[in-house]
Amino acid sequence: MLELRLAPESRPLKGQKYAAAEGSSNTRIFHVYRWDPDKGENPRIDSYEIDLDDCGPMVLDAILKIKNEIDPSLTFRRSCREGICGSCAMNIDGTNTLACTKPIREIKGEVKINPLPHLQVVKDLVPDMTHFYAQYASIKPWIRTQSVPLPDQERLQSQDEREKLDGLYECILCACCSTSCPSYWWNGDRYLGPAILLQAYRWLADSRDEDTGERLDALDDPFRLYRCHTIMNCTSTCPKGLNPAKAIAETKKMLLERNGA
Amino acid sequence: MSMQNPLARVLGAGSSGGGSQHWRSQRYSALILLLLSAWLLWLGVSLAGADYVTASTAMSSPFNAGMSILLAASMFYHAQLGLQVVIEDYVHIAALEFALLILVRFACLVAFLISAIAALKMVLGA
Repeated sequence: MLELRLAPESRPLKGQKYAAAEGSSNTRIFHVYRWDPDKGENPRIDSYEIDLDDCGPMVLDAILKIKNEIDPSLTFRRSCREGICGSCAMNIDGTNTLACTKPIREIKGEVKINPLPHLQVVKDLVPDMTHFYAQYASIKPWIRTQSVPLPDQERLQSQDEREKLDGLYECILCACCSTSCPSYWWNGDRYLGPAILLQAYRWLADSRDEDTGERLDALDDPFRLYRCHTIMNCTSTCPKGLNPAKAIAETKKMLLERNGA
Repeated sequence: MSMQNPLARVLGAGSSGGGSQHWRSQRYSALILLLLSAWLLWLGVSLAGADYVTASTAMSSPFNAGMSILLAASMFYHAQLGLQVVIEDYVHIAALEFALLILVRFACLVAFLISAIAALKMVLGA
């Protein structure tokens, strides 16, 4: 059944508090979710007071400052620090987003940082993405063709055809949208979720792909695709400004057109 | 504890191929309900303040009886489709889920039959 509360051993407790150095005036408190699988304890929320005058502008800068200067055991993923790798996706101030592109000044008051919702936590802010990636693999996200390409030519696409991939190819698979979706929380084992469905539509919309029928067959399922109830959390949370809900709607439209009225 | 490959778990029993049909029926029945609600509203307004005989005479016309049966059919069909989605969303104990889905179908069918027979009774005057 639907679980309304976290299991007792998963409920976060109050953690430690770290004050900023004396004499710092422009400070902000960061509440960060901590959980260590080796300790066998409940998760806890540690609070770090950060001097913003001595810190970069983004939330990731503050997290890096905490790791470098206060608590080296803080664990999180990060790589490109410019919103293209998708590693630092986490729940900041109640919204899933990328820590590297989220300015601290956009957040009012104390900053709450949690791992992406409703995924198993590996440690601290690191969620287990295994299932998400397996779902991505399941849609076979590569061009599938039957025709033999000309030996001296690429598979060509007109400008109009290429434009159909705008708003789709930019997805970095950070999982912010999927983990913000209540339908994905309750039925993520079978529902593919907005990120994977946007990727699936990226191949449906590609004029060079020759396996549209098979792709639609694989999606025509009450759980894989139709658990989307147009809640729209995906679109409002996407840190890249994409619209997974529209991609899902277009997929439903393709299935409708294929079946006829 | 499972050592099954994550991809095998995701692929599961494959696609059932029945999702779009359900989704379509839900939309179409909603559309029909919208039109029939307009008729119901019109009927309600036109019968406002009327006495019992006028109202029962109006309801015994074949057109109004037909519309009420259609309304009951699309309403309980739509209710069944919607409740099915709610149950599939939130009930994750397989046996309970199956039982509830069958119960909802049965209850909606019974409710439709009662409404349809009531409407027919008005026409046939039994």
